[in-house]
Amino acid sequence: MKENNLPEDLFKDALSNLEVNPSQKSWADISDQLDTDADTKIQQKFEGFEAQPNPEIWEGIRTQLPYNLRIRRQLNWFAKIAAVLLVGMLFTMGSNMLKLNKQQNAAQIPSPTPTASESVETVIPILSMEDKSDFVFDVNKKKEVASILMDEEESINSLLDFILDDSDDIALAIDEEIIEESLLPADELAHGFALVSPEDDIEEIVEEEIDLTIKIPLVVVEESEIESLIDMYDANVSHSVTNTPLNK
Amino acid sequence: MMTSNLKVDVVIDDNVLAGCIEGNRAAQELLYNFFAPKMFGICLRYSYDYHSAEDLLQDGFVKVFHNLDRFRGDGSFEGWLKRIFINTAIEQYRKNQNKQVNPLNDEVYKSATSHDDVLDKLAVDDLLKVIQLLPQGYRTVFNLYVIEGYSHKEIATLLNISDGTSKSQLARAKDYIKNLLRKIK
Repeated sequence: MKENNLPEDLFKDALSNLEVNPSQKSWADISDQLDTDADTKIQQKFEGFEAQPNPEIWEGIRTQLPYNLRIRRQLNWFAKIAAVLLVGMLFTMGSNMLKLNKQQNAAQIPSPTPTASESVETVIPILSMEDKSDFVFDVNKKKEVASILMDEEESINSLLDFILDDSDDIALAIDEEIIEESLLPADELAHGFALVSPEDDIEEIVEEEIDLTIKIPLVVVEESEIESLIDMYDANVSHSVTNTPLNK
Repeated sequence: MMTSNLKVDVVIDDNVLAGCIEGNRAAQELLYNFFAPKMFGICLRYSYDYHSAEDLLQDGFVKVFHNLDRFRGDGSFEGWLKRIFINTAIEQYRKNQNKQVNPLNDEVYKSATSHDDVLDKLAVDDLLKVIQLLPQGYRTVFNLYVIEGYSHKEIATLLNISDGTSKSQLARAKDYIKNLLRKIK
């Protein structure tokens, strides 16, 4: 065998089988580089990648397409505005109903009954004539009106007394003309006469328990006078019948 | 397989967009035919199979046509469309988040090998199959980070998860892909 004594040979022998463990970082760097290269290769392969889809896909899409986006957007806006208005309207209605309910509830709540120990001063307002309505009964005013009517009633009584007084000569007080006129039908009465129907106030007087005494005098009339009166009445009635038009 | 060789020689301009907004069916169909292959590619990446990708495509386009008047023209229309489809996929992920079951055993992630050579040999359709095999959470994070280029912070915001969860999901997704590629190799 040939011996190697040269220094080159010594280096060669010493370093030819040299092994040194690299650091972990070295492999990580290499691995990253490999990954990056792989990523780039994959990216490049998919660049501009296309595939033809099934023609039936378009049919599926077409059934879901909108007709006009602009009109649809406008309709959407109108729908939104309408919805806002509707919500506002419902809110207003709701709040009004709540208010009304509160008012009704407040009206239905009974006022607390005062206890015996408590002194409650109640002020009842006196209504004027203008304030008087069908639902307000003004006691003071009613009394006042009733007293006036009672005065009037007294004067009526006195008048009736005067007319029907036995002491007076009725034949003198009522002359024939007046009797004749009183027997005329109502539509033929002269001016200044009118049929008077009792007013409501009169009924109120009755309700107020006013004593109204009507005295009916007994007048002694002779037979001849009665007959003459009957004749006069008949004559007046026949006169009025003949004067009245048939088609009236 | 599914890659389209058909190129539609049309220009999607403002008139087509205006027609779509006014409900013109012809304009809507034109827009769909022009962008459907590109968007279906995205849908396939975020879905676990072809049929779920079709559902995603349909949902995405319905959303596009219902919100087309909101496109201001600030960026590219295609970018706007893409965002809608990605967001639709994210919505689907959120819906299924609670139902998500991780079918993978942690042991499979440990044997990581270099897969660059495999990647070079794989066709995009095969790679798509690998991605579709990922659980939904991993797939979504992998798509967002590796292909769309979102940061972990952005992904965390989009998916309503933490940065750490996003990172760990991505790491697991990569390990899972490596394991699958090793088997293919």
